[in-house]
Amino acid sequence: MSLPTQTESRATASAEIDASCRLPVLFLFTSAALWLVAAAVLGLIASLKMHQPLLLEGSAELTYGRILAASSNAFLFGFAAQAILGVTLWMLARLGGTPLVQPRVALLGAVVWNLAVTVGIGGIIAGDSSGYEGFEFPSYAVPALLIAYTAIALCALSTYLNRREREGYVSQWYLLGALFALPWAYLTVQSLLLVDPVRGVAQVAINWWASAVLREVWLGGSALAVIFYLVPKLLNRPLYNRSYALIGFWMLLVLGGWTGLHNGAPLPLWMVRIGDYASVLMLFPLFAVAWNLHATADGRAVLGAECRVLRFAGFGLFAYLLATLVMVMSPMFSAQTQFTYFTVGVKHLALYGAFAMAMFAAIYHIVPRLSGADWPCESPVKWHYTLAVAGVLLVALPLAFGGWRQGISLLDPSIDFSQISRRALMAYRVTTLGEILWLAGSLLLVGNLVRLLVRQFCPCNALACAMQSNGGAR
Amino acid sequence: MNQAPLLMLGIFAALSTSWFGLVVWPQIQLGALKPVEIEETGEIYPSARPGLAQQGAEVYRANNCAACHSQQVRPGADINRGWGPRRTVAQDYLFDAPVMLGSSRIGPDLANIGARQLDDNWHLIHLYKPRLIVEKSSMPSYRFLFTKRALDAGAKPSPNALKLSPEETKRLEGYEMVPKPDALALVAYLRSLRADAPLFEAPLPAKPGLKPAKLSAPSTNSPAKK
Ligand code: HEC
Repeated sequence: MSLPTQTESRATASAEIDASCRLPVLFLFTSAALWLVAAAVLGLIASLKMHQPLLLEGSAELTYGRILAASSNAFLFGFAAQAILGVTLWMLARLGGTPLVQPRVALLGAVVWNLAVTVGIGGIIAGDSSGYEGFEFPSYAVPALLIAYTAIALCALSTYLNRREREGYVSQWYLLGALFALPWAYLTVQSLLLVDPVRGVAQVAINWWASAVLREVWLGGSALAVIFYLVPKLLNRPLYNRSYALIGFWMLLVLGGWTGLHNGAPLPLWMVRIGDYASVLMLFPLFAVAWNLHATADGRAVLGAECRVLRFAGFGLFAYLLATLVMVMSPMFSAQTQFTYFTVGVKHLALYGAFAMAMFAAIYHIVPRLSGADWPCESPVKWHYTLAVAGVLLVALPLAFGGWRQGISLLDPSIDFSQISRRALMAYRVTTLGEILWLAGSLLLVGNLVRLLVRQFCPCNALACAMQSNGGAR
Repeated sequence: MNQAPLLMLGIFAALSTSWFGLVVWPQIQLGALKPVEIEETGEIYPSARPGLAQQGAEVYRANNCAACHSQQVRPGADINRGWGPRRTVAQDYLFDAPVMLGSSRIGPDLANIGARQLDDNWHLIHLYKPRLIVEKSSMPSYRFLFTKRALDAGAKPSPNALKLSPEETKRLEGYEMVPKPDALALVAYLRSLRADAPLFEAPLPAKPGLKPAKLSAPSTNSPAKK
C-alpha cells in the first residue's frame, strides 16, 4: 500500500505518463540548473567581496548588498521554484497514474516564469530591490510571476484531481502543501508589503511569516516529498508508517509559519513566545520524519549507498534533520547567535545541504525516465555529489563555528567590534573555497543535463551514439 | 485522506493559523499605533523623516545596507556596546517603509547612528572609502555615490567636495571627489536614525541621552565607556 512503485504502475503505463511530462519538466529542470549556476556565480562574488571589499568596488550594480540579494533570489525563484514545479508535475502524474494535464500550458507558464525571474533579478541589480529580506523582487516583477505560477499550478492540480490511483501517498500531500504555500506567501507580501505597505513593524511580522512559510512548508515540504518518494523506492521497501507521515505533514503545515520570529524583536511579546513554542513543537514532526525513514531503511545504507541518487537524497535528509534540529533549539541560544554568521551557516545548510541536494536526487532520478536514456556516464554524477557535499560543508561549517565565536564576542562589550570583524575573515576565506566547489558541481549538473538532451534531441549523432554505448555500460 | 477537496481544505486551514496570527492579528494590534507626545520634551515621537532623509532611506534600501547592518537594539549586550540607550520597540519604526531591521551584524547596529556620529563629512568619507577611517574595514566602498571631477591647476576645490586628508588628496592627482545627491541623501538618512526618545514601554536608564561621539572620534566601534 505504501510503496510508491506499486501505486504508480497500475493505472496507466508509466511510459505514457513520462511522455506527457517530457517537455515542461525537462524545460523546468534545465532552466532551474542554469539559474543555480547564476546563483552560484553571484554567491561566489559576494563571498569574495566579504574578505576583498576592494574587488569591483566602483560598480553600483555589483555592490555587495545587491549581489547577495540577487544570488539568494536566483536560488529561490530561479532554481528552487522550478525544480519544485518540475518534481510536482512529474510526481503528481506518476503517483496519480494519469498523464499530465495540458503540458503545453505548463511549458508556456515555465517560459513566462523565467522571464519574470529575469526581470526581478535585473531589478535588484538595478537598485529596485523591495528591501524585504527574501522577497527582494521589485513589485513590477511579481504579477507575471504569479500568473505564470498559476498556469503551472493549475496543470498540477488538475492532474491531481484527474488521478486514477485513489490511494494517496505522503509525497503528494507535501507537494500540494508546497504548491499552495508559495503563492499564498508571495501574494501576502505583494499586497501588504510591496504595493501598499502596512505600517511599522507589522511589516516585519509579515516578512518573517512569509519567509518561514517558504522555508518550512515550501522548501522543506518539497524536500521531504522527494525524500519520502525516493528512499522507499530505491531501497525497495514499503514506507514504515503512514500515520507518522500524516502527523508530520500536518504539524509542519500548522507550525511552519510561526517559526520565523526572533527573540528581542520589537514585536509584541506574545508573538515571539508563540514562535518559540512553535519552534520547540517542531521536534515532533522532525522526529516523525526521522523515525519513519529510519524504520523504512531498516539498517540499509542510505548515505553510503552505491546508488548516487539515494546518496543525494540521504545527504539531503541528514542536512534537513540537522538544520531543523538547530532551528528548533535556537530559542535557547538565540541571544548569542542572532545577527551572527551562525544563522547564515545554518540557513545555508538548510537551503543548499537539505533542499538543493534533495532536488538533485529528484532531477537525477526523473530526467533519465523522461529522456529515455541514462546519464552519459556515471562519473560526472559522482563528481557532482562530491563537489556539492564539500561545497555545502565548507560554507556552512566555518560560518557556524565562526558565528558561534562572533556571538560570544559580541556579548562582551570590552571586545572591540573591528577586532570581531577581522577575526571573522578567516571563516569567509574558507567559504569562498566552498562556493567555488559548489559552482563547479552546479556546472557539472548543467553539463550532464545538456549532454543528455543533446543526445536525445539530435538523433543519429554518431558520436553521441558511441558515447551512449560507452557510458551506458556503467 | 482520499478526498481531494478535504485535503485542500485541510491545507488551507493549517496554513491559515499562522497567517491569522502573524499577518492579520498584528494589523489589529499594531495598526492603531500613533505618534505619542514625549512627556519630558513635549515633542511628538516619532515624526516622519524630512524629504532628503526619506530619499536616503531609498538609497539604503537600493544598496541593501541591511545585508550587513541591523537597526535593532536588544536589551542587555547591545546597550552595553553603546548601540543605544534603550531597547527599540514598535513605536520607533512607525514611519519606516520598508522597515529594515536587518538580520546580520557584519557591521555595527545603526539604530542610533544619528545620535552617535554627527559629522556629515565623516559619513561621506566613510562611504567613499571606509578604510580611510577604519583600518581593514570590511565595509565596501560606495565610490559610485561620488563624482570624480578634474581640478584646474591652482584652482580652489569646490566647496562641496570631500575634505580628504592631504595624502589622499595627493593620490587623486588633481581630481576632487564630489558627493552625488544620493550620497547626501544617504547621510541625511543616517543622521536621522535615532531611537533614543524615552517611551512609556521603553524608558531611558537613569541618565538619559546618548553621549554623541566627539567629532574627531574615529568611530564608535570601540567599546562603550562606562
Ligand atoms: C559587507 C558588509 C557591509 C555593507 C554592505 C555595509 N556596511 Fe557599513 N559597516 C560595515 C562594517 C564591517 C563596519 C565597521 C567598520 C567600519 O566602520 O568601516 C561598518 C560601519 C558602518 C558605519 C559606522 C558605524 C559606527 O558605529 O561607527 C556606518 C554609518 C555604516 N557602516 C553605514 C553603511 C551604509 C549606509 C551602508 C550602505 C550604503 C553600509 N554601511 C553597507 C559593513 C558593511
